[in-house]
Amino acid sequence: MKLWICPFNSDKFQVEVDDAATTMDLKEAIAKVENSSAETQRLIFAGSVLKDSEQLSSYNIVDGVSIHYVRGRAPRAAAAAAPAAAPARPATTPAPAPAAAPRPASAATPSAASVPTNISAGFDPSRSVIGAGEFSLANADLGSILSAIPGGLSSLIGDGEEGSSGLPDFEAVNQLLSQNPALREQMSQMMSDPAMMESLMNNPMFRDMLPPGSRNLMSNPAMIRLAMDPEFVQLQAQMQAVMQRHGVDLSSMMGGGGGMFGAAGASGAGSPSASQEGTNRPAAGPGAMPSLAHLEQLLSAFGGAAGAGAGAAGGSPFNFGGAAAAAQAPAEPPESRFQVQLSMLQDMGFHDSAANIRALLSSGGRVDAAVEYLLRSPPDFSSGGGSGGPGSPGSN
Amino acid sequence: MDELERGEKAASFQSYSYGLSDAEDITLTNWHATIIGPNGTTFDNRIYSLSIVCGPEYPNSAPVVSFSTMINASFVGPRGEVDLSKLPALGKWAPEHTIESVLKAIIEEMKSRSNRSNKQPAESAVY
Repeated sequence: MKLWICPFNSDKFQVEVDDAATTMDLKEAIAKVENSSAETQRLIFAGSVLKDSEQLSSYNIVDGVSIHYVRGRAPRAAAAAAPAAAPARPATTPAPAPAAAPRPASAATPSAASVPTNISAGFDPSRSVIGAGEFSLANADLGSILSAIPGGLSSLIGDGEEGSSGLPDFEAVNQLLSQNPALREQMSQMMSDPAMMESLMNNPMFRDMLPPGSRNLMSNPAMIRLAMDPEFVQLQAQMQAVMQRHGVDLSSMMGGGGGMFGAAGASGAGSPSASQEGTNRPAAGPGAMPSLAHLEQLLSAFGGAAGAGAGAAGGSPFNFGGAAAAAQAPAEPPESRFQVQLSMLQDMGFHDSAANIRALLSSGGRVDAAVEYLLRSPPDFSSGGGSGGPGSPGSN
Repeated sequence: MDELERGEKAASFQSYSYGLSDAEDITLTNWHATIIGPNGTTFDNRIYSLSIVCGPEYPNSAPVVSFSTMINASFVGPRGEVDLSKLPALGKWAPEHTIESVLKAIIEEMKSRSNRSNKQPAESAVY
C-alpha cells in the first residue's frame, strides 16, 4: 500500500510498503527515502504513536492515509550544519547531547562546570523564541546562563513572569557583571569558543529562528565583546529608561520577554525603510551605537506610541534583527513568517490568531499597523495592550 | 463522523493528530490525540499523547481531555487533566467546538508566555 508521510515542517512524500508491514518496516522505508536512520523516527497516525513491532494494519492504516512523521533527536555532526539551507527543517536538528557540549577548557570555577550543560539542556525559550536578531540572543544568553548558574542569581533576572515587564533587568545584570569579573570572563570565553557557539547554533531552538546571516554575527568576536561590554549593558538600561520616560509600554511591546532589540527589530522589518536601515552591518564597536539623544529624538518624533517605539528601534542601526527577519524566506506560511509579530500581538491581548494573521497580512507584517487594523475591526479585543494610536515608523 | 475522517486524512502536516482509541467504537466516545510540541517552546519536538472522552452529551457539553504524557503547564492538573476553562483560545464551550479546536487551543496555550518556558518532566514520563 502507498502511504503519505507528512514530516514536520516540510512537504509530504509517498512511500510504499507491504500490506502486512510493521511500523519498523515503514520506518526503514522512510529511512531509505530520507537517507536517515529508522531509530530516530517517530510516526503518528490518528493520534497514536506507532510502536515499532506492531503491524500497520493494527492501527487501521490503509492505502492512501497520511502518517505524521517527527524526526527524532539524535547525535549529529556539528560540521554538517548547512547554514545556506534557508528554510531550515527544525525537526531534523537534534539538540546537542549535554554530555557532548564542548566547554571552555580553562573554565575553572565550580559554576563554570555546570554552564555548558545548562545551555543545551535548559535554554529559556521564552526569550529565544522572540529574538530574530543576535542582540536579543545575547540577552537571552545572559539571562539563561545566569539563571542556570546555581546560587540564586536567577532571581535578579526578570524571567518574563506575568505582570513584570518581561525584560531582563539590565541594571542588575550590569551590576552582576561588574561585580563579578570571573563571571564575565567565563561568559565571554564561552561565547568566543567557536565549538560552543556552534553547538548553540545547532540547537533547534536557535537554528530555526536564526537566519543564516546571524551565525556570522555571533561568531564575530567584536560583536561578542560588544555584547559583553558592561558599558553596553549599561546603555541598554539607559535606553530602557528613556523608552519608559516616553510612555512606551515596554511590556506590551516586548512580546514574550525577548530582548528588546530583537522584538523591536522584527516588527520594524515589515516597513521598507526599517529593513533598509537594518542592513547596516554592526560596525562592532560602541561607535556604532546611536546616541541616546538620537533615540530620544526619534521617540518623541513618533509620539511615544507603542508602535512608534518599535519603529524607532527598528530604524536605528541597533536593528540587526530587522535585516535578519527580512531575510527569512517569504514562502513560509504567515503563521511562521509572523511568529514574532503574532506573539507580540498575543501579548498585547489580541488573542484571536486568525484575526492577527489577517491584520499582519494586510499590514505587511507591521505590528503597529496591525494593531490599528485590529482596533478598527473590533471583535474580541479583550484587555491591555494598545497603548495609544500607532505611529508611522516607516516615515523617516 | 466528520471529525473522524478529518483526523485520519490530515492532508498536510499539522502539529496535532487525533483518532478513535478503538476503531470499533461506534459511539465515537473514546479518542486519543497527539500534539507535537510547538517550536521554540520548552515542548519543542516532544510528542504529547492525550485522551479525549466525548460523553453522550457531546458536542453540547465539552469533552473530557487529559494528557497521558507528563506535562507541566498551567492548564493541566496533577493527573494530566486539562482544564478547558484555562484555554483562552477556546473560550466558553460551545457545540461548534470540536476536538480539533480543543487541540489547537491547547497548542496555543503551550506557546503562551506563562507556559512556554516551564521546566518539563522527562520526555517519556506518563501519568
